[in-house]
Amino acid sequence: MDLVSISNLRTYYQTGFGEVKAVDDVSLVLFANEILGVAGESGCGKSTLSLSILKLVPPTTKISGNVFYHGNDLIRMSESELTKIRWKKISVVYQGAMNAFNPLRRCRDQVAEAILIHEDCKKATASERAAKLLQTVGIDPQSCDKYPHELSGGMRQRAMIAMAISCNPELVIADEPTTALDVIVQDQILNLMQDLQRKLHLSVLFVSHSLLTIGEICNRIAIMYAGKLVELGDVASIFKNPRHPYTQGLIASNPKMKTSKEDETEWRSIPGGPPSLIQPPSGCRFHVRCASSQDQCRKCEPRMREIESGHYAACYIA
Amino acid sequence: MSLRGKAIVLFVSFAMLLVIFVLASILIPYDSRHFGLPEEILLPPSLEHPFGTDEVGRDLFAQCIYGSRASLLVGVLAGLLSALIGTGVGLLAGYYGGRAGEFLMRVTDAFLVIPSLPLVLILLFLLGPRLDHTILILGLLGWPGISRVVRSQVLSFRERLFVERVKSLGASDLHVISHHILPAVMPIATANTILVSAVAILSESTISFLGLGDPLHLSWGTILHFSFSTGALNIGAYWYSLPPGMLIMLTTLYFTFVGNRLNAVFNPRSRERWI
Repeated sequence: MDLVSISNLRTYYQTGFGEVKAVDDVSLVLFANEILGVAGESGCGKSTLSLSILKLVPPTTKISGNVFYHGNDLIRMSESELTKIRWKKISVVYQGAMNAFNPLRRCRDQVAEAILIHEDCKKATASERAAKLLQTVGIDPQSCDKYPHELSGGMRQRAMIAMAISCNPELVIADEPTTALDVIVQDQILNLMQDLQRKLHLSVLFVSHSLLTIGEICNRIAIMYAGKLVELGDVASIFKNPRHPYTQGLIASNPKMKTSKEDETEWRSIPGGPPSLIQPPSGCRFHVRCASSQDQCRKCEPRMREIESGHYAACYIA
Repeated sequence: MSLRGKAIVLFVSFAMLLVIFVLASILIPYDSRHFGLPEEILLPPSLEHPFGTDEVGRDLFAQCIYGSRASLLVGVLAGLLSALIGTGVGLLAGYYGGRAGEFLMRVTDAFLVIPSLPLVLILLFLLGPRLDHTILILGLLGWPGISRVVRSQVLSFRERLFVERVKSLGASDLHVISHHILPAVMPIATANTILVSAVAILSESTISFLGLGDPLHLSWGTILHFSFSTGALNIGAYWYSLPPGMLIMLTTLYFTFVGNRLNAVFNPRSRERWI
């Protein structure tokens, strides 16, 4: 079942240097009860895509297209209508939990604040629920009343997740929730999110630059490059059979442990860096860095097409 | 002693001093307005008169204690008025920005460049030298520094991720300001308010010294005014001008120290680091 369907979403930031086309004509469907990963290099529009769903972008930003949620277009909603959706239906786990907490207030109060804003209940009730939520995500009762800086990075991220699920949302947007955590804690956070997703029947939009974390917990993966969606498919088919050269490059650039001498798969990265989003390259935006680019790649932009059932790619040679 | 301990000591002693000053009239044995006998004129400090007597034989200790009321009242009330205006203007200008914010800051600049002492003297001359006028005028002129500092803090807090997060929760501007921005700028606003209070006490002393003090409310500046007009120092009556002068200096210093220490205690980060 479709939960959120994004079509032709464009988010252009207005800056002093020109218009930054951070998300350019992206269409995507998010199913209920699934974890969809969005991967790509830094600055390719992953975070912008996820935050555009709730219009959490600077007020000068030009945003067009549709984001349908239960038949309503979130892009056309007024701020006051969006307020009813935000957090109550769709919530956000921000990257860098340290900065997402007010350093002057206790974690529990901040989780309770989220409940109080959306639900008509007493302060004590909200505080009670906040403590329970914090316990659900694995924070012991003594630590509930601590200030954010007294918690470790992993604990803060847990508290952030508790806040995200405080109003029983249907969809949680996780914007790089495991960045800046060490691998052991990353693993704990991923397991926690997976558990919660199953228990609470959530959908999760999981944004990360790390394909490995995404492969760990997601059902499907969307690969973005320079503001465009370039490949979409379920985890197994993307990892086993990546069709877009960019996806192939991303997968190849993950270092692997060499277990035997015969294991000769080379660790290579993609040459160059992501292009400017103010004046993106013509045609396929990846052609500048693509080893197998052809004439038509330079001239004409490839459309997303279904290569196998449920596996889409925007490439002529895929 | 820890920083927090020092701050508490400073704060408690400050509060005690305030109480003593306020209850002064009950505590001291002399009426500050009681004229002495001819042989009691300009007596040097003694056990009976710790600060000596003035040119008409009034007890100077009693006058100094009494004078603290006007000085402190001006400091506290003018400081509070400045804090109210300064914090309000700073919050609005910083949080909303744009044209309204620009306008508010230009008004602030205008107030900042006005040479305040001549203006205060002229206004007091026009309105009449009364204590409430002094408080009102000093309060209305003391806020621009606070609003500048508060605004710059708000500008930085406004961009923090947690403010964005609270907004994404669906919180109203009022909620964001009252629950997140105001508490964050409170320490710096408090510290600056107390500094403004120190300046207000100093200004009040200056005004009174120049002869525009409220004749019905004795202040340290008024005592200095009379000691100067009597020519007390010329005849070596140091006790006439030294105590009120020292009191003005100490009180101003005190306000400054308390302001700085309060800042250190109210900020949760420094509290953890230094305890």
